[in-house]
Amino acid sequence: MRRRVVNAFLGMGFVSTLGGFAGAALAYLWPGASGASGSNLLMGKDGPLSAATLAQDEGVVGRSNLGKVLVIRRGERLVGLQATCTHLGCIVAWNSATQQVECPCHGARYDLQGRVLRGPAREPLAQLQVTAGDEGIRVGPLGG
Amino acid sequence: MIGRSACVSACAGANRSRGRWVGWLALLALLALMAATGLTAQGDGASPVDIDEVMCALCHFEQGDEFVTSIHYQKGLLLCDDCHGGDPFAVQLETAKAPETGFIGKPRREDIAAICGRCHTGPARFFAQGPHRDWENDDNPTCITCHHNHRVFDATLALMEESCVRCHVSDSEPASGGVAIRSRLEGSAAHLARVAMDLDRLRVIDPKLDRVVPMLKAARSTLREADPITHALNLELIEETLEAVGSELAVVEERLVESVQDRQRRRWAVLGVWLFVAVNVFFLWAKRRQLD
Amino acid sequence: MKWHPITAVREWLEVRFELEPVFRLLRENLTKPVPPHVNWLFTLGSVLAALLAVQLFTGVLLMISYKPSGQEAFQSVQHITYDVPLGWLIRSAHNWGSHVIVVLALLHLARVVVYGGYKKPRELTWGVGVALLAVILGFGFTGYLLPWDQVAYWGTVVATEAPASIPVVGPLTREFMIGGTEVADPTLGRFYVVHVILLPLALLSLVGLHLLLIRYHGISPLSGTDQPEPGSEEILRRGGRPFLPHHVLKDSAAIYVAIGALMSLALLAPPHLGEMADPLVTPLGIKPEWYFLPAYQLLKYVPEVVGVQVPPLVLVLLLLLPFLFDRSPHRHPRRRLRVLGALGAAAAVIGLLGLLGHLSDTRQTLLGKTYDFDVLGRPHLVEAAEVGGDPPQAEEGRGAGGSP
Repeated sequence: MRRRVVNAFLGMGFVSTLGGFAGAALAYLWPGASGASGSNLLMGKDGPLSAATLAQDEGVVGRSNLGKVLVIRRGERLVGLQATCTHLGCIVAWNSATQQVECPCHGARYDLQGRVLRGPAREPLAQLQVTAGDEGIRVGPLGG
Repeated sequence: MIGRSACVSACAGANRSRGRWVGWLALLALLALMAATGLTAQGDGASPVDIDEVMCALCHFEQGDEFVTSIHYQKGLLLCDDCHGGDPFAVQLETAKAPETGFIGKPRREDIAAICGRCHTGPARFFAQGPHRDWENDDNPTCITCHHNHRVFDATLALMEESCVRCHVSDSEPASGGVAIRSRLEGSAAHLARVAMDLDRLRVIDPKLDRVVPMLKAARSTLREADPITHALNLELIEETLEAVGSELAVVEERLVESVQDRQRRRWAVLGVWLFVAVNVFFLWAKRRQLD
Repeated sequence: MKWHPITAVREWLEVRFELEPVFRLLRENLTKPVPPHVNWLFTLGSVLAALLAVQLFTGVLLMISYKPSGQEAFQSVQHITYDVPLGWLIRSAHNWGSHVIVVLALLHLARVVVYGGYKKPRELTWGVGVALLAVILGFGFTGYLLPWDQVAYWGTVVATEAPASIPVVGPLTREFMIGGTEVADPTLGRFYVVHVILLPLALLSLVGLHLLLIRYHGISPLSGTDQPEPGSEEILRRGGRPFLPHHVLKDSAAIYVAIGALMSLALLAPPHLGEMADPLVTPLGIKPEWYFLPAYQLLKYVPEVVGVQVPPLVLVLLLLLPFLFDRSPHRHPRRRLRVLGALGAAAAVIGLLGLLGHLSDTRQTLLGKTYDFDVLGRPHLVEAAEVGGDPPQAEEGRGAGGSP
């Protein structure tokens, strides 16, 4: 067989071996979803969060299958907002003194509908439907 | 002959009725939860109700003005009905003071401790063991004598300073007893404050002291346990608690002393390090000289 | 002749592996004279190497007790600090070592730039050096997350958000880096592996290459690249001394002093551990480590997609310094004042950004007046009446001293 052909096949063999290793590594390292919980129940550090322990004008952050959610009690109503600031991903908090949703990282401010009151965030927080139930607080997309 | 579609609709029917059951249960649970939160919301110390909405204060404005300054009002803990009964939001006098609301008006002397004791169980219990427990004796104080009824603030040791001498001659046995209790409590509090300050100062340079912080917190809460016992006005009773505080603080102080000693040792170690460096640099220099 | 153990061993080895040629080559190379202009600033390279070795040493010790999982990491660092004998000291030395190494690396880079050491034929050495700087910064970035306290966690969240803004590949790049959609256990696993094996392997290879190239070329002279470099006799005549033993002694002294300084810092100002990471609560004033502050502050002024490309761009430009920006044959600093001025100005801008990053969201008192610095670093005078209030809080890096 021609030398060049043999060399070519040897080269291809070597490259494909390396490729096999690279492919295996890529599959192994491929990122999965993390952090979001599987259910629409709002989960805290030690289990589902309960609306009963939420005082008037108080907020709490938990995980759900829709990501991290901020729930604020307003009288009998519960307000639900996306908890990750749209600027650089810090977790926002409800400040009952200023009546605004505030991000501790760069001072972004939102209102109860998630609209940006002050930058550096530019996108609003997604609004979410939150309902208090037996097992805890259920989270769903707004309008359905 | 049951067609396939009939099967499906039968199952669907069964699911639908089961679904309806679950729906009603859920609604019931939701209502129960809302009712529960309604009842507990005030106990969580929410923001206070606007006093202008409280009907009682329209006529009883003096008491209303005093109550507004109190910690009971400002932390949203109590309203008029919690002690006096009645409906504080009813506009009609008859409805507001109706017997069904549990209206009692101005409480009788013998009931005062029981009313305050509904929440302040500890102080009420110990007060009932103390020298002032006989409500029939008009000379004896009740809770509101020292703590006031409407203008209630956070109780401090200063309260003991002015209250005892209102009735007792300042050198008499009861008065000196009060002074003794007060100074013992003040001593413990001062000790705690000193240790806390030292801990904060030393913690900055010694991260190992971060572990001691919960121990100080525990000592602080133990000291707070003496507060209800004080109402028995018996020095022996508080002694046990105060001694416990003392020994907890002693452990913290031991750690602080260790930390200071450790810092001293570290300073010597730094000196040692530089000495070692100096010696070696000297010999390196000597070798360099040797070469030239 | 009297029997001597070392000679005996050498003879035994000589039969099995010819050491003589290796030693001869090393001796010839190491005794080559070093140009006379080489002053104490030139010891920085050796000091860096020694400090990196100390980091390796303390790092290995820490690895024995550290547990790289979200559940155990924090507690294992507490265990090291409080329970393991001298654990607090090892951790402190590792922490301070990282700061000192970044400072010295930048000083070493500045020295090389001033003395024109990056010019022909040493462009490869320079390239390897820039790669080493990137590796050092990578060490700092990945190591920062490992204690898994609030500052570590949220600092990493903020630092890894930025790449997501790159069009097309951004989000996937970020997810690959952190092993998922948010910083969690997989992130710790990845950062740990990069920090303790991948970067050390890269470091050792690059340092080896760097030293090889330096020994190969020798220290750059002050003459231009258009002239042949002076030979050994010429250098000796002008007052240069052999590297071994003269400059080795100098380097050793500098290394002793540097280690003394490191130990002093480690003994007197051990770092604190903050609160355990809580993915649901972002604390106030999260800032990255000081050497990333310029990039952090820049992201506040320009759109994310632009800002995130600047730091790698700076490294690339640095790499291209001998090819694009300074092509003159001169090495002597006095004949390159314009280039040095421009580079100095660039360094000053980066430094200013870093300073603004440090001051932003803090309250400072200067000459009797109190200023509130806003998120962009602009100072606002605080009226005397307001001074008693709460200043904006900032918690920068982990630093020594200052409770969390």
